[in-house]
Amino acid sequence: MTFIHTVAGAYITQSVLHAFMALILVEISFYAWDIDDHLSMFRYRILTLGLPIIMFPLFQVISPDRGSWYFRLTTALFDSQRWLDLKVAGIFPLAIAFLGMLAAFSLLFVLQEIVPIFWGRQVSRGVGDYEETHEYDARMQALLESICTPLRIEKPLFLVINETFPILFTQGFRRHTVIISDHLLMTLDDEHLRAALTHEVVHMLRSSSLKTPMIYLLRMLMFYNPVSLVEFRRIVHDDEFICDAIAVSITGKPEALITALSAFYYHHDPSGPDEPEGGLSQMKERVESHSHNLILDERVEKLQHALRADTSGFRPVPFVITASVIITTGYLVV
Amino acid sequence: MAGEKRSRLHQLFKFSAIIFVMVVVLALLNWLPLLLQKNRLQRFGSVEAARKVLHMQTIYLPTYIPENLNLAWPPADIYAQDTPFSACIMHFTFRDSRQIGLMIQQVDSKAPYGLEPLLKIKEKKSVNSVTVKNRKALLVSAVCDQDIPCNQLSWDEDSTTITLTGKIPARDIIRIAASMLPDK
Repeated sequence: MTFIHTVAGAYITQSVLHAFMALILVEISFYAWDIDDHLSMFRYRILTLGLPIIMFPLFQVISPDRGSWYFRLTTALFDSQRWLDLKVAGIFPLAIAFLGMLAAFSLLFVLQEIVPIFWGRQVSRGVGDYEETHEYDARMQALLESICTPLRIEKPLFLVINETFPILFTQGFRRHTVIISDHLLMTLDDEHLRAALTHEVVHMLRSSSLKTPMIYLLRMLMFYNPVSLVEFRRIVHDDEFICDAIAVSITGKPEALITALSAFYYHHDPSGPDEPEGGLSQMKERVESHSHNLILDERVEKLQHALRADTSGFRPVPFVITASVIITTGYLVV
Repeated sequence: MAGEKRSRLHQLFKFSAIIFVMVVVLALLNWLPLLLQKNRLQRFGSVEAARKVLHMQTIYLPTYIPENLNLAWPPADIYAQDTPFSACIMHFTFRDSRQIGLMIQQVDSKAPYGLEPLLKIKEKKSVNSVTVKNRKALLVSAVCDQDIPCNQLSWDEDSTTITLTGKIPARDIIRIAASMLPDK
């Protein structure tokens, strides 16, 4: 009996298959139900990330015989073991290739997401934290006041740091703090800065700093799953699109947010790192910069169409239908 | 309003049509491995068909089933495989219902894992050694699903483990087993 025939093996195999099925079904839903707004997309993608975690144990409780040979042969729509037990050239089981692929994604998860956490800690311990600056405090106070007072919400705390890069994010769960680099305060005028800060206030209103770690937890539970890797990033991007749309609906000035976003583009500096041109870390940096800029491009493009776009809005009936189809097909995919 | 309703119905139709196509693709993907490897576990219409496709040397079949047991002949279901190990499962149903009355399972004695039977023993009542045509066999009297009394008889025949499980009396299960075997 190989690993894939054990309960743990079945869970891993089926969770990947269920996530893949959910991904396809969600994309079909976007097309069939004409879904183009990021709030709906965000909710549908949570299905892709969350349902595969619970589907296998849920199905086993409802129907303990679901994993039996009889169910696989007579009821299942797709039996993964038929493929995984196949041997290439009569020697090499496909299960090995499948598990190898999952091991590669697990390694990628460790290198890309776990190692940087510890590495970042070491670096910050060695170098020390960012230096604070207070010369922009009055301006920040005034801008946040102008955003929060009409919305009748508590003004968040803020921290201006001395940094030559554009940095702007919100942290904290109950009492939020906006972290901003003085570079941005020097680059952007009040109108553009108000647009950018409104975006952060929307994050605060949507509890993004609470939601994102929870979504990340789902992604961590499926560390081996390539679909979770992709969907987690898409969900995080969706959240940015949602906050952009809400921020623009508050300020009524998409152009201001577009200009603010333009300040966040990465520009490759070949004289920067010590590594020679074409080195591995430079290539990695270029790929990351490119993907970061592509997302900014997409956000800018969405904002350019913000005022004339007729978004579909979230509709619960198609959502429930899609979730039901994901669960039903998941039950029949073993 | 009517236009919106029509648009919603169109979307529902589009969604259903794509799901239908997806189900067909899944079914095809499920069937493809059987085409690549014909000796995997599958259902057969008759014992002869299983013998022909899987080139199974021996499938043990009962030549006697007591009439009073009301079991239908031929077996209602025949499942067999040659990979990853040789196995054949036959279900005999009662004539007046579709319930399985007798299950005959023959599996390679060296199989790395078993095939979970559909007729499951819930609680063992007694275990005895019996002799069937000079073979030592194990007879288990038990309670099966739905709290119905049942019996199970198993023994090794060459390199195959044969197991009969039935919601029938022990005496009859031994007689059926004896009818499957040549004299030794």
